[in-house]
Amino acid sequence: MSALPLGLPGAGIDIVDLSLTDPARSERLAPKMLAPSEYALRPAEMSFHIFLWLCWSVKEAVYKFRRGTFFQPTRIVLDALNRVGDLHVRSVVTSDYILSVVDTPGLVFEVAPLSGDPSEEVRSLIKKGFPDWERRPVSFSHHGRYMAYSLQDADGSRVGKTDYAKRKNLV
Amino acid sequence: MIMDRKAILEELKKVLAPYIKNKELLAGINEQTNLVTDLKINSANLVDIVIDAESKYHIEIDVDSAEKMVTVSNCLDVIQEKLAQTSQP
Repeated sequence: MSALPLGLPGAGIDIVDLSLTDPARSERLAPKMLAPSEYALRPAEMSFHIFLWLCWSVKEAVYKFRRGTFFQPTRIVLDALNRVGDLHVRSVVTSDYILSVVDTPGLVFEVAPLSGDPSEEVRSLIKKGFPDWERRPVSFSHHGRYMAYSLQDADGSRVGKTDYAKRKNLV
Repeated sequence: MIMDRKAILEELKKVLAPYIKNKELLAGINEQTNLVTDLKINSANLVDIVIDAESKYHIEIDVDSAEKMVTVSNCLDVIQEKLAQTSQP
């Protein structure tokens, strides 16, 4: 039985530490990560490596939002870089990481450096801003040097706590 | 290529090793071990493991088969099946 409030949408976030990805492997990874129709979505100015991991992070965020049980990336097909079916996904692409989060009313998300145990640190981070976080739809992600969370805030007044100063491209 | 299950497991451990942070977990691997919940392998690395396994065993692992690779036992089943296909005339 879910402890989450009824009627509220879910949450879905994913972060990719680009230092843990290898551009030289992108061509081989692609058939395992992309559906055939998605190759045409790559903007001309975006490298294939960034495109691949952007698609991946969007898919992971959508998968978490839908609360799936096994992530198979080729089965979640992007209609656009920011849309899967009726879900809109916001992504932040920096030289260090790619973050994707399913957009919902009252969306709050935050990215922070990770130095220790991911589950402990991300819970500590979220508690600072939202002591009642366990009663909200929430999603966590961590990869390499970063951790992130997203949740639903009732009034949406604290949207976008992430470090926008480092943002280079918001898709 | 003819390989028994034990030999495949030993090679599979080498494939998994780079993606397991806590090397103590590697020593405890058995057929029931779950790649994500037991070995703490990041989902992004599951795709790396599939393509590394393809190179290691000279096989091709399709999407439907990759989807089954949840536990070590599942991985061995898939690799054995693909090896059997490649050894057929």
